[in-house]
Amino acid sequence: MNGIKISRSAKGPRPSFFAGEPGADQLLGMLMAIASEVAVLHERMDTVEQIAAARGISLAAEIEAFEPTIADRERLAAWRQQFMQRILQGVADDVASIAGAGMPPPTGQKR
Amino acid sequence: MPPGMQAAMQEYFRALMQLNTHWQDAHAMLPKANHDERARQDFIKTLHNRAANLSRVEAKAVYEGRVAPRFASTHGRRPDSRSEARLAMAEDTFWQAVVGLRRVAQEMLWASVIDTVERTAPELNARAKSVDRKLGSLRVNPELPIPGYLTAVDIHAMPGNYHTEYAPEDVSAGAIFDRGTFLYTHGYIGPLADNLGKGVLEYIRKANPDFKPRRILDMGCTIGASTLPYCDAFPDAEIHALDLAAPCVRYGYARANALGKAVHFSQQNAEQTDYPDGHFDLVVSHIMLHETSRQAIPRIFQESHRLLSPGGKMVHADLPNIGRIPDVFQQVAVNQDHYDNNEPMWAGYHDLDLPKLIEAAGFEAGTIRMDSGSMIISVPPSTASPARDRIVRGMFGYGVFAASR
Repeated sequence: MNGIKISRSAKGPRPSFFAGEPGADQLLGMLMAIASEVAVLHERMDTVEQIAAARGISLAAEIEAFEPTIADRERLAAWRQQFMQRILQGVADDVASIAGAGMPPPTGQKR
Repeated sequence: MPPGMQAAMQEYFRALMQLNTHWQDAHAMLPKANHDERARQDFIKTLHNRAANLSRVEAKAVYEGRVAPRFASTHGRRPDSRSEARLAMAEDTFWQAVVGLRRVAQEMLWASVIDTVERTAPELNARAKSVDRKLGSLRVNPELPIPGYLTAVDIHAMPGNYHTEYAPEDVSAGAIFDRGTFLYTHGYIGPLADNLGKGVLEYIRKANPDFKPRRILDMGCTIGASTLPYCDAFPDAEIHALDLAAPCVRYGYARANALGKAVHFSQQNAEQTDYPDGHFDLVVSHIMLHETSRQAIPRIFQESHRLLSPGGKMVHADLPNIGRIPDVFQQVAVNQDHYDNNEPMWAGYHDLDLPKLIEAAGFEAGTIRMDSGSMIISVPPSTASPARDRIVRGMFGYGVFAASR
């Protein structure tokens, strides 16, 4: 079976809460998306360290000595691209709401 | 307040103040998050909970300390209605930040769950078919018209709403809803998201200790999380559940089988079903009415009346009865979902005279009740007290509209 695509934007007008400061709503979205990713990273690091410590490996020195390969750099670049998409979702929605802005419509059938 | 009730309230608030360690019980249908998805979802559970509390607790202090006095200095009195109080709050920078945060947290919540469901959809859809489907039954109707109240906006800002299908025989929306609702309620709804159903059951059994319904219908069941406790409470009864959304009843059927419960799921509109007259002894719904429409609610009451056997009972549990909340700011806080959470019917729901509509649907006036059910929440497990099945009851919960045939 093929994969599916699900929109991350809800149908319906997006309310604005900062009177006279529409950009503030978008900034809040960006800020919280970043906070979320920081929390995810923190938790992953903690998990890695606990697993390594349980096997008698001290990671700090190995991390300092690590040299990324081209494959590593590709993987991280792709991750960063996705990361930015997550942070800029609010801005993308704003652009998508403007008729003829050339953004693809949200995916999904039977809407 | 009687001493027993005061102790119960203290227990309830103590549970809410505890570190939120809630996690969802895995079952064969629950989408399997990878490490980072789970970490992201856990973060959002915390963020969403914090935003909700800010809008109820800290915002109350801002209202009393800044907003109401400012209003009084220009009007010579405090706001005396929820609409006045809401407009006064909307000008306050704290409230702007808090309700903005509520919306952002809600959007991030669905996105974090969609990441998992989108990645694992082929596997989820395959599991829905391969799970041992021995118990209950499933009926889906591709011809069923989806009413405007589901197609106009995505309720709760859940992209695609309950009914959108992304693949043949798709269960994705049900999977998004299962995981999303758990995070939405910050886990207090219980490891199997069934505390609301358990609460309504307690209400029914307290009012009717000897009631033994032979057939039960749960209207607007989505994935049947509130339906399943009825299987345990009435093991001899036949349990039916309907919803407008095909992905939700498909998912609900597979989920019920994965959890070993027999429920007859059916994709139908609660306003007009295909069951015979007098087929059920009990018709229930759990926070469904306010997501329908002014036109639909009287029809749902009429259909409930038609479906009930003589002596049968109808119990619709929904939003708190806002008129009974004495504090005008708390009314604003309860109503905020109308303004930040794609709930177009929420505010208007409070203005409907439901007992009058229930009577007009054919129920005897003397049997109609408007009550409050106490909210059951799960106590977060801790190292000192690791049990996961502990629940406590809060004083204020959902509003109940009940009547007997």
